[in-house]
Amino acid sequence: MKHEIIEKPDARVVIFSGEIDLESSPVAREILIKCFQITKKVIVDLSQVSYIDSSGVASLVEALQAAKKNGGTFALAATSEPTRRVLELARLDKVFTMFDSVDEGLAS
Amino acid sequence: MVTRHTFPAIAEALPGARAVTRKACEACGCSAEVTQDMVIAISEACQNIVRHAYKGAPDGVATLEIRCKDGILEFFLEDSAPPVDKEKLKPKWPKELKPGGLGICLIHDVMDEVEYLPAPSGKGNLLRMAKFIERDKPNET
Repeated sequence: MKHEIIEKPDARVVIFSGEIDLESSPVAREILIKCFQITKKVIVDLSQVSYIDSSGVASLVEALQAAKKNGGTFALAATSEPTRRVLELARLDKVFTMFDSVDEGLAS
Repeated sequence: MVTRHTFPAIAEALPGARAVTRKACEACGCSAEVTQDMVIAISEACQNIVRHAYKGAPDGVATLEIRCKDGILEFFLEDSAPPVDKEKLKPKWPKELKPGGLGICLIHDVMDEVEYLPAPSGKGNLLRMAKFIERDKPNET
């Protein structure tokens, strides 16, 4: 898994790419939680994620919980098909706020 | 067709197990959708061995055997870890949002059969998962 963080005036955009699995999900979790120490709005670009497993989904859930606890906003954007499938199976596709693009998420 | 893949029960070995699963499903004629679901399920089952059977111990080994015959895709996943409490292996959808606990549910969601068999060697765990791929193919007219 690789990641890039883009600073926006009132938000952070985290772009993940590759596989978010048991090996990399602790890093993904740490990145997302740290973002919420800086800003109240985090948008995750998942367009380049080729695979995510339940541990990766758990990282997203923890970030969502951190956002709710601190009155912040956490959203997923441009979710890749493999990621969307796992979220559907996990019955979490309606739990996360999802946007078709990062720009749409930032404008919300 | 039989595919056999033995791998160390560590997180770094999971991409290899996924690649073997994907290749076997494609060779068996599975659709892209079924292949994707099988990869998800097998990866979760392998992850459970790493996390819960061997509890992160670095010297564990697991074997994945994939059989494709008569429209049935069977996966046998065996380890030598202490026996896992079968009660903990039942799918229980979390009643509230929480991280974790999804792997078993995902496996049961995409597989047609999931059962825990006695390990042939007398120790360890043996998980059998099956998918009836012929049944899922659209009818040809």
